[in-house]
Amino acid sequence: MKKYIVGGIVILLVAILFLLTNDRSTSIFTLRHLYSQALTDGEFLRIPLLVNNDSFYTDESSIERINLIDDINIIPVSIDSISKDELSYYYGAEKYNVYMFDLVPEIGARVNLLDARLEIIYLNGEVNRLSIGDINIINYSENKDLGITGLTGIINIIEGYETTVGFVMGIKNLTDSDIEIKGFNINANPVFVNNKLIKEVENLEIDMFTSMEELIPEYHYLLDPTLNTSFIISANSKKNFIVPIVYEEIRYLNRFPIIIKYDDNEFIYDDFLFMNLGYFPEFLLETKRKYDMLN
Amino acid sequence: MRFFLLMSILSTHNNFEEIIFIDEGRLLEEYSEEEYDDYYDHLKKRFFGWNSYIVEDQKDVYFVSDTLFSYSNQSNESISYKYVYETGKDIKDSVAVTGGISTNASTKAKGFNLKFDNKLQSKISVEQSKSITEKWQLDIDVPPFTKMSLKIRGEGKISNGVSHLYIFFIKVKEGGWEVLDVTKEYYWLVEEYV
Repeated sequence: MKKYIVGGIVILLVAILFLLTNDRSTSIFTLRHLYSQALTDGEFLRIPLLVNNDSFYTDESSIERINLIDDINIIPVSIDSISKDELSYYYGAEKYNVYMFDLVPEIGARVNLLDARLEIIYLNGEVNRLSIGDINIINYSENKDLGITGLTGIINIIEGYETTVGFVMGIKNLTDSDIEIKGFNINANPVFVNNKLIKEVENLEIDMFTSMEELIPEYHYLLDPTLNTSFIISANSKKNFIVPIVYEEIRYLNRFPIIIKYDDNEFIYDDFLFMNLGYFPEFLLETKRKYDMLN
Repeated sequence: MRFFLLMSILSTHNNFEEIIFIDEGRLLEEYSEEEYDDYYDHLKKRFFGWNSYIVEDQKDVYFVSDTLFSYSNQSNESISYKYVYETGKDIKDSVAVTGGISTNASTKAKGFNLKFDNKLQSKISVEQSKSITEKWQLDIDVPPFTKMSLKIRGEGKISNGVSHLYIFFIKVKEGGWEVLDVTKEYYWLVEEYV
């Protein structure tokens, strides 16, 4: 009799262990990214999520709608696609796949969402709000008054983040009259341009890993942003500038548009990918958030 | 006994203009025939399958890649140019092999998968899909009488070595292989006069 009881307990323990080790409830990881894009027709915002299994949480057919939200704004987005990347990550012993949510904001205006959440509303009524970082979007528009004749990011490491601390840009005035450059903006809140420290340079051949303090001795990445500058570019001629970028809070800034105010107009240079360190550079892992789903 | 002779033509990573080791290291194309023989001596016979000897293991490198695009505007008006770039499709990890090794069957070599097949190929350079995918659509206006080029540089890790394939303890293939795993990419736009 005793051996049957012991055998029963062993079977029960094995069954419990089996159930515990086969717990395939869905977990989602997000990292704090800084999104800054100038969208044109057909372009989308790509938001990567780390998900530990294939479930309805990443199945487009189970989603009723998606919004990008912050404490004030709700921006509806349409789904261009949801796809699974071949890349996978391990968190402890658990494997996570990368799902790319390619989304198109259904709004024609400039969007700036600090501490944005991806709000996914499922057909079964479940709602997930996932912290994804900061979202900054403008619409691209063409302008033939200026031409960009070169662009290089200045990449430094600050607070352990490899990030863009400035850029070197050549601007050509394509009009037959002088123009006044009044300010640069990168629409990448909480990262900004310090217009006061912009420096005119002879040529664009500056190594992208040069220290920003070496290029502009007064520079510090925590300086306050400033909005205005003044440089005259004569008709049909060009000038080169070093434009410093300052941080209200540390972020990984690798891609952004450049908006140049001149005379009473605005020139938008489409978002430029200055570097690509993968979706999840190691220094961003400290920003990870884990969400355990109900199913 | 060798069923296939080592070919003297060496492989290259066709995507990259230059690869520089941060510390010491050698590319597959720098192996001499004598060194190939030395490395092959490290390989013991097997009943069946591949046996590999790693010469360089995940060594850090810088690379300068080819120009991603170059567009010349020879008119007196600026021209709009739309460039669509998907990292991981346009610039990919690179695999280079020499000798009797090709790339369709698989063997594992310490931390990465290298795919071989049964075709004898003296020189092959193929691309592996890469996972740090970012889609980027760049609308640029190229000023009059200007040539604009988008360039790329980056960092990665190189592994290389030699392998034998045995069938019933008989060596049927041998050759060298090299894998470049791209970890960082940096882009810049330059003007070149027409």
